[in-house]
Amino acid sequence: MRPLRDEFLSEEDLDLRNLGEEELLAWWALWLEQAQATNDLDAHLYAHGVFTVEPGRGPGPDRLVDPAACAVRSAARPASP
Amino acid sequence: MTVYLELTRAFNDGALRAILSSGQAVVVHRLAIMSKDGDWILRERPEALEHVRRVLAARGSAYRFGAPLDVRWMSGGWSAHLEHRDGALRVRTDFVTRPPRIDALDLEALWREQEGAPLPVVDPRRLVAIKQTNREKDYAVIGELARLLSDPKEQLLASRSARDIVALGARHPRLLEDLARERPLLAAAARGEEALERALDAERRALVHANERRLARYAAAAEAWAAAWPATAHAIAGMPLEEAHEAIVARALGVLPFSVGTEPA
Repeated sequence: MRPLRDEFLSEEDLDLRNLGEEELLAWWALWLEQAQATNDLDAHLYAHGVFTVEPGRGPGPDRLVDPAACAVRSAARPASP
Repeated sequence: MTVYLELTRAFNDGALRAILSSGQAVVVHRLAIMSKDGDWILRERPEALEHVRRVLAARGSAYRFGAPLDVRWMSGGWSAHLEHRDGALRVRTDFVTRPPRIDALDLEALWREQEGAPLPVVDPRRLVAIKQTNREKDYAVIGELARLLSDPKEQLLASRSARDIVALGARHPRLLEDLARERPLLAAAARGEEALERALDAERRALVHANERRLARYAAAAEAWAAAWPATAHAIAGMPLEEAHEAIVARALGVLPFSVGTEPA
């Protein structure tokens, strides 16, 4: 029996290591293309850096909020480095 | 080749200026594809930032809200954000010169290590530090990044798996004991997997809150710049990038501080 192992990512994610170079590039490009479907949802959001949301915008498409409130709330919003 | 690899090559044409980081670096290490944006660590030199702006200008890139891509702000830990279209793709390009949680000596070592690399990319150990954000999903990535590390010391300092830590500790008991000074949760390994799991959860929450506090300091420091941004964005709309850059720098001076205070002890 296989010993138990903590799982962090799916088998599909980890399968990238089994792809050849060309396959990886093709899959990566396809993934990026498909991910454009959510562009409207994150138009005003940031995934990296020290900013989290465009001034005057809240999470989601075209949601206007008070900029001052936004600056405070942005500190608690998810963001990458 | 994906747009992010092409940009990395273009940024580094003739000299090492940009190291691919965060989500796209995770793909290069053949873990998950989870981000559609590009993130780079740039050399903190005017020439490097000018070159990157030239590359992006040729692609019709425009500034998003953020700091100017200028050494004075970047050296204060700010991030700069630009965006352009590449066919059907919205290409977001995010930049720092001072990645969080990587100290100056280690950053300098990263630049030395990446000199001459065909594709400059942040290594798994430093990606672990960069990914210690306030997003839960980043900790899943860290869990797998830790498994890419070959040095048991680095694994013990990065692992998010209680089972992995207990197994590593059994093979390297002295190392586990020594490293507990650097990563206190390792001391919980002696009390078994369950105690270690609780300690890992607590450590993750502490890291999440630390990053939230970091972002809050930048948000507070950027309040006046955020208020000025709608007018700034309107003023630079349609400008060539270098002209927009000059306008943003002029408007940010005296509004966006170059540096942000550190966390109170």
